[in-house]
Amino acid sequence: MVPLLGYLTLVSTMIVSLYVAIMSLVGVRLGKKSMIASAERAAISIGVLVIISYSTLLYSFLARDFSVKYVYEYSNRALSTIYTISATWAGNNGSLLMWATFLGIYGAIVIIQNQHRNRESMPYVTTILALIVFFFTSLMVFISNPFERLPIVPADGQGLNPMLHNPGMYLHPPTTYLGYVSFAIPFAFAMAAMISGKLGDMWIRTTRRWIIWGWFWLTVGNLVGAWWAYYTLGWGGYWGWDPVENSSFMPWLVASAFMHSIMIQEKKGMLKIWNMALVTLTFSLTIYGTLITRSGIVNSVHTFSQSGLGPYLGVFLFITLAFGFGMLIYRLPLLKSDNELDSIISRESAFLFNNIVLLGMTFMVLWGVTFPFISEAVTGSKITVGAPFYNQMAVPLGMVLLFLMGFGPLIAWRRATVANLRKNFMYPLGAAMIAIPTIAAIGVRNPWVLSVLVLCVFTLATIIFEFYRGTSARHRMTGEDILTSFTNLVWRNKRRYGGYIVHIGLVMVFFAIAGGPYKIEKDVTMKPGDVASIGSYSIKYIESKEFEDAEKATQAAVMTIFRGDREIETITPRKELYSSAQMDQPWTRVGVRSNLKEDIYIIPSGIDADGTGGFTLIINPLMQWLWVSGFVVFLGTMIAYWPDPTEKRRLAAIYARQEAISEA
Amino acid sequence: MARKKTKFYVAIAVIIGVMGALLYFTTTSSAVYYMKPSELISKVKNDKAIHEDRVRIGGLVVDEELEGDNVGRKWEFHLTDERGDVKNKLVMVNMENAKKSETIKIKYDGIVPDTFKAGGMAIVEGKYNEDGEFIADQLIAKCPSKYVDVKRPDQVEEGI
Repeated sequence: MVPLLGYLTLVSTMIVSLYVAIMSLVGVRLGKKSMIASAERAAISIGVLVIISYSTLLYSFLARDFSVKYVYEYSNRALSTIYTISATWAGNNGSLLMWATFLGIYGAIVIIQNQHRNRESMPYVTTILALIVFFFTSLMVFISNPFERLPIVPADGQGLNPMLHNPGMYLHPPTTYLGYVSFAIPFAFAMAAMISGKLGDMWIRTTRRWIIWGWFWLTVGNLVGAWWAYYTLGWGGYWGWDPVENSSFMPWLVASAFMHSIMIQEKKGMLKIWNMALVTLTFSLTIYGTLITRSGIVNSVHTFSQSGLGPYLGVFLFITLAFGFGMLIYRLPLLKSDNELDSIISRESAFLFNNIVLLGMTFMVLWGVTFPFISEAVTGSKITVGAPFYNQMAVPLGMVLLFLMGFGPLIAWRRATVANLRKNFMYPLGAAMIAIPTIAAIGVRNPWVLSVLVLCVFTLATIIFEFYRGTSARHRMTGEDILTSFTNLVWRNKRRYGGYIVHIGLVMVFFAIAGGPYKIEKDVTMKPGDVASIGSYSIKYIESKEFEDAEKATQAAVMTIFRGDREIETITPRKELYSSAQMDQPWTRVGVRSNLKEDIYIIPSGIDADGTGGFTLIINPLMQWLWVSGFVVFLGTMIAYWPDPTEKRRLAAIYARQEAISEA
Repeated sequence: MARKKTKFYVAIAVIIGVMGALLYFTTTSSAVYYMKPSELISKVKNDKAIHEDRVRIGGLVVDEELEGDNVGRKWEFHLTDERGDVKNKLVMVNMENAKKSETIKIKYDGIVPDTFKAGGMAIVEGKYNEDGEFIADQLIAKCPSKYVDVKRPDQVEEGI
């Protein structure tokens, strides 16, 4: 019964979304307010329908209803409740449902928020969002139905892939989707602006929070993906330039570019065309990401199903691009810049260059992913590029970005003077100068690492300098004590200083990546009692232990880490053998011991009956900074996202004017 | 005004030019042929130079049992072309066919991912030596058959 209810909800969502799209469009064309109002009420009900649909899937999982094929494929009776919940999004069908659910909820929120605002463009926004919901729900209704039933009810399910028995399963797919789906909102507003011809910057002001929201979750999704790969895939790294990783990295890059370029439009009325192009690209890349992860068309370490979804998502991607850029060409005459760029050395141009480099990086990743297909089409033989290609490209481009992150915020708008440059950059440059010999003195000789670290110092110094200057100016002017002026400074300019804090988080990411070349790796074969040394540590293999629980048999190697004579920690890298017939291979669980300087990372390759074990010992310098950066980005995003009274007042005034006009 | 604009276009052109050049040189320096095992075998027959090049091959792991040495390193296995029927048929059926066709012997010293197994897919990178052995130093594995829609539920009871 319940799965049927779920399926019927999906069918109704599909029908309702089509109704919404048509009513809203026809209503605005004919000027019938009642039709638009009906469409909006129906659109809000979509938000409820998708939640019901998702809940029924969840219920089927928790009730172990193996008559549902999807439940049968991704869970079994031995699976704990916590991972049974996460199994709902373990496969294609459930992931699509999650996409649609988020979109349905987002759409309802947008419509409720804008009941009295943006009335001229809202009907188009509603139509576009409804069409996207329609597309995803029809995919599920006709092609990959999460509620599909089996003719015979199996006694037990196939179980969940052990790699997904991980907190990452909670953190990675949902966050990535939260981010992906958010970009449908700015896209819908941008397209609505172009259709209605109201091409001010209202679409940007209205969707700014959605953009930040989406960017934040994409950042978290990528970081958590890396974290998961690091602790679970057990190859000693966190980023392999796998097509699937690339497909979530690309929208992140374009979204970052977009977030910066809209500031220029808000402040200076420039880059209007560019922003339209970027919002279309960002949304398209989220669809592309879904296509890559859900169609199985690329060779990837990720085990996703081969499915028939590829062509449909491909067509949808094509329509999105064609529509977005088609509208852009159609509206070109209305997208004239209000200002021109004055000087190459100015804040505006720093933003522009940041955009070009971010887009260049996106192109490079896209190039790497598609190169095998291009070369096959052109020369007849498939030529691939691997991780070295991406690294060689990403390092120099990343360094330019890191530099611009420090340079941009300190440079004057419009035109920087020599005096301005000298005043702002004296201290940061001084800090960088001191950093060079200091970093070299502690033994860093790799020129790339040295340059990245110096740039980290420079950028961090510019940010600290900005905080310092703002605080001391405020302190002088208002007479508040230092701490109060600091908090007031940040709180009265949330976007700006929140952004700087996000930048600090990104500097930490670069810092962590810079540790990469100093990774040490060593393969050893050890008997219990043996000691191996790596870096400044020695690792003693104490014993191998075997134990069993309901789900799995475990073979663990007990290893104690020493530094000199001092015992630091005992960790147990292990192999797990799941009892479910579907997973009759050992799963590797790495042992990791971390501090801010470096991780000791032990991968067991195999443990023999007599206890002889093969281990790969790895020292990963600075790894923890990558995870810490996530919290700093979170803090900064929270500040930038937090409702701001000044901004609210300004927006309220604009909305009041809109209403006055539409009523007149 | 016009002069100012020109300056910008030049700056942008320079940046894009530099990135383009970087892209070109990095691509040419890191490009590696990707082939199916059968393609590599036929290529070697008329092009001995291929022994010198790094090559990437991807295919189906055909060995029934996979064993490294006793501690999970020093692997030897055979790769053959992936077939269309991998997606739809039972892995064992597929393996019987696969073993009859051309295979390449791969030697790989290192840790393999958990997903690496007989009947699964593997992509290796390395050199194909004159003795007909492929010495791989990188291995990516994926197992399309295990957790996805390969088996119809009515076949489950027969087991693999």
